[in-house]
Amino acid sequence: MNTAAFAETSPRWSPLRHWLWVWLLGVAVCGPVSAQDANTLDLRLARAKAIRQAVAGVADAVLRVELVGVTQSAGSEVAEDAPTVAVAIDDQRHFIASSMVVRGNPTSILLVTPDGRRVVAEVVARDHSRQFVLLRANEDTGADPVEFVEVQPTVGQSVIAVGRHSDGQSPAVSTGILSATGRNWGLALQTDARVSSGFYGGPLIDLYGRLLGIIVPMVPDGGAEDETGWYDAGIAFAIPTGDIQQRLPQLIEGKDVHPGLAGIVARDSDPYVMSTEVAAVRPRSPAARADLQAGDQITAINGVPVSSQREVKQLLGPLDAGTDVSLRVKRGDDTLEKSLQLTQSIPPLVPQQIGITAEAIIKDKQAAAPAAEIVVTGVMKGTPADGQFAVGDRIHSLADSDLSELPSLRRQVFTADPDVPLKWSVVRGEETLQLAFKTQPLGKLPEDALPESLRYAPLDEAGWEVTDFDLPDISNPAAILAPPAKAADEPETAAAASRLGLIILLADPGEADLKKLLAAWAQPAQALGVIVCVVGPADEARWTPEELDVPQRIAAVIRQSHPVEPLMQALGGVAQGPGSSLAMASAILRPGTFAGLSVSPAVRPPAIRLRENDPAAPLQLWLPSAAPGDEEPGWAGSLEQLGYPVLRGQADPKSVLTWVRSLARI
Amino acid sequence: MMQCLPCCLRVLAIAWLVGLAAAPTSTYAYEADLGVLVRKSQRAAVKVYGAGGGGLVAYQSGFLVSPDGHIATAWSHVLDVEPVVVLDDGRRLNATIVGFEPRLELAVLKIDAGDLPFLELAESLPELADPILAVSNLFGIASGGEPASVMHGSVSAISRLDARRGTFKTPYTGTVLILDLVANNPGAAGGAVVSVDGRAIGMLGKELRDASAGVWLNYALPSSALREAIGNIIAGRTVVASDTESPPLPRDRSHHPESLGLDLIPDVLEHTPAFVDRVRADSPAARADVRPDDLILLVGNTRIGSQQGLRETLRRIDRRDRVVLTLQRGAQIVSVTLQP
Repeated sequence: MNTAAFAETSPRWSPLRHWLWVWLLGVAVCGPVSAQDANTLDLRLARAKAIRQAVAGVADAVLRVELVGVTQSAGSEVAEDAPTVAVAIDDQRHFIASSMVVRGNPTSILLVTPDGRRVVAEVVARDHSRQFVLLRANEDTGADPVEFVEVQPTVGQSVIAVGRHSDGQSPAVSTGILSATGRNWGLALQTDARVSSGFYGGPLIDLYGRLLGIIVPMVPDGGAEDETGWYDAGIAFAIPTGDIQQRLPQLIEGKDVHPGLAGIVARDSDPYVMSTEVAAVRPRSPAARADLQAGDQITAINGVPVSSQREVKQLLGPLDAGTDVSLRVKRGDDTLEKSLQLTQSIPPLVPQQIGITAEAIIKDKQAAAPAAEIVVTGVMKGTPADGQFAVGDRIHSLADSDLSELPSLRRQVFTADPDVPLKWSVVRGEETLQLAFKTQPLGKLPEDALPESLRYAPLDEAGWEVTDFDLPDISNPAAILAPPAKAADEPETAAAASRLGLIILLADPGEADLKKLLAAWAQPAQALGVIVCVVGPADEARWTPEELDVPQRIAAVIRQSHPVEPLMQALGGVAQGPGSSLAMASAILRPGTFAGLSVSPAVRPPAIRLRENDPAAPLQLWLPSAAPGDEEPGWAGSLEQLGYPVLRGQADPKSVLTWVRSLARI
Repeated sequence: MMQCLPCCLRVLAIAWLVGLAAAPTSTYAYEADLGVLVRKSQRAAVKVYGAGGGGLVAYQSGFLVSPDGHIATAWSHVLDVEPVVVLDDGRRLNATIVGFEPRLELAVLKIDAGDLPFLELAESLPELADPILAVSNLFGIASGGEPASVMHGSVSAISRLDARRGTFKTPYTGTVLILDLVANNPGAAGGAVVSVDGRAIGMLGKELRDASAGVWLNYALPSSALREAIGNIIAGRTVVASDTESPPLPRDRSHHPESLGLDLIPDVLEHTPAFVDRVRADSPAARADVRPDDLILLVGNTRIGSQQGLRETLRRIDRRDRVVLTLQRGAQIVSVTLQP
């Protein structure tokens, strides 16, 4: 056999022959030829030639990237400063590289030029969804830029990944087919070419040498711990050329591309459920601004019909922050068209207050459909409402829409944007006033926490007593400090000032005398009008998860015999042990009953899945200051991030009970 | 004997090409059918069984490079004992280690058999993207007379090796074939990489990580780099396996590490490598600039697999004679002469 003939007679490659081979390959793969024929080695050699030709067309655009001064972190197999590649895209010294060049925060990014020089490159901007960055070399590199051509990739077609190997001079090639398009929620092409770090940032081309995309380290949700974890696995991803090209103008201006967020919370975490129902809309999100509502069904996105959460994710996934998107939603029998501009981030909910108390007064009780009117009953000193509202003002509209229900007023103030003044229409006497002022965070108790409207004014002077509290259907021991029970006045009809607050305190296991615990609360409880109920665990050794809703059930029992204001109900712990942990878990996991939670900063937080504070049934925390020198617990910050106001206060009964009554403020 | 079948197939292939597209006809001499090529590769492949333990497998791969039973394989821990070789036809034969080239991590074995199928070694490097077969007994999947495992892929890059094993850089830094094929797995070392013309264009190397990226490499040492070393070993011009045939000299008349001024690392393993721990001042070793952490690969032409082997070899050298050591120092191979 004469192998030397191979090199000698190997014909110079002409474009015509190139096309011929490619055509031949096409016939072999797609045409009516047998598998035996497709295996012939002639075809494999022809294919190798076509690949070399295609690679030669882009290889001069591909430079090795070296990183200097990377902070090493253990964990991933691929080194943080692994050499990768970059592709020259224009004659302005711009290169596309993968996110590998920024993930270790290198002090310097070097491009290795074809003649072996090292040229410093700077990051111009990066695409945070697609794992690529735009670099600009500080001097000429001699790289020959790739051409952007419009190619529609077809699944199954041959593809070639091009990178550089360790010496930086020889191209590295891996071949395969296009496995899929639109992967990772519409972001990437997938190929079975074996790709490791030397290919990240490199071009994925077809057999004609046309650029299909740029290879990036990526794994789908839950795929691997590190985005490089699937190197050489035959599962590799590339960002389509068109998607890169489309973003170049923005990137060249130095503006990063971020994934666009809508703020829609899906009903079901399973993306295959055939439902597009919106479970919640994150406050201050584009969805909230567009007035999407829980319960809406999304039927189309940018005109493309959708019927499952998976389709919604697939269509929204590739959209950047700043992109406009049109949604068609079904609300009841109505079909609405909504337009959203996606944002980069949705600020966490920071609950707001204006510092008033208010009542909804039915204007004409005899009317067929009695209309309510919201009347300001108190204005707290030093709050935004101070000097704006006056007691007796009737609020007719907020943010240009009519207002007649207290919960709606509460929710709108609670979720207000702190940077945007709220606009009010108020009737004072005969005069209609237009007011506009900003809110303040709810996490701060006004100096004057108890205006006249929140102070307790009992109808009679009945003495308060501490008694054992026997509970039907509940085996927990309990003691209560309360005025004598009376035939229930409906709380709504009791005069506002005579309504009571309520705090339920969970004792730690082993607390023998619950009544004794109430002694310190007796005087302030009666003075402030807050019922205090101490509850122990059913099993004297421990609190159990089955007791999570015991506090809510006890509160319901107390409300039957006492005029408790629903907004003035709080839950807390006696000490800082398991009782406090259970109180925390119960208040967060069973929202709706308690508006306040009072626990020691030393409490061990329960292992529960936290969710964002629900503006319809909000919860706020009273966190007595930690002992001097102690740090504030980390969980307090986590809760604040989720929209739970955390009020730093005192642990003494008077302070706690004052806060309980102040829960009714708006 | 491999010639006639491919010839007729080639004619067919040419006819097919002409008939279909009037394409330029092929003039190369190669098997026109992948199946033939696969069988040819497998028939020359051998399974090598030897020493293992400590998390290392006790087997690797090799391939026949002559009809007289010369086998190219990787120089590794597996060859710490005289290996047993299993041929494609199922024959199980004892092999002797003819010699090795530490820089290439290449060893040549010899079995006592003749008229064997073998692979010619290519003289030149393949081209980028050339199709290849890799034939080896990776993971020991093929057992007994089962044919070795064949994988198909292509040449991903032709590059210089910059790799490490553990934290040590490899001594070989020459040209390697990077393979577009996940070929280098336990047991694959020593396997053949075969081009479509039926020649061995390389030998699969031992598992290595890329020195800068940390990723596992898929690579082969090119035949163009192996040819000369294999030829030299077969011709007896180079290193041979440790010679334990000749009787040792009396202890007080032979060399031993201490007489040369070498303190080795503690000998705690069955095959503790002969790493120098300390060099005694003003000793033959110190005068020859032997350094701590040097690994002793050879004494004269004798391979040193372990500290035990070093001692046994030195026992056969007269204390009045000089000793030539071949050392691995970092990524370098250094030769020193110790004058007593």
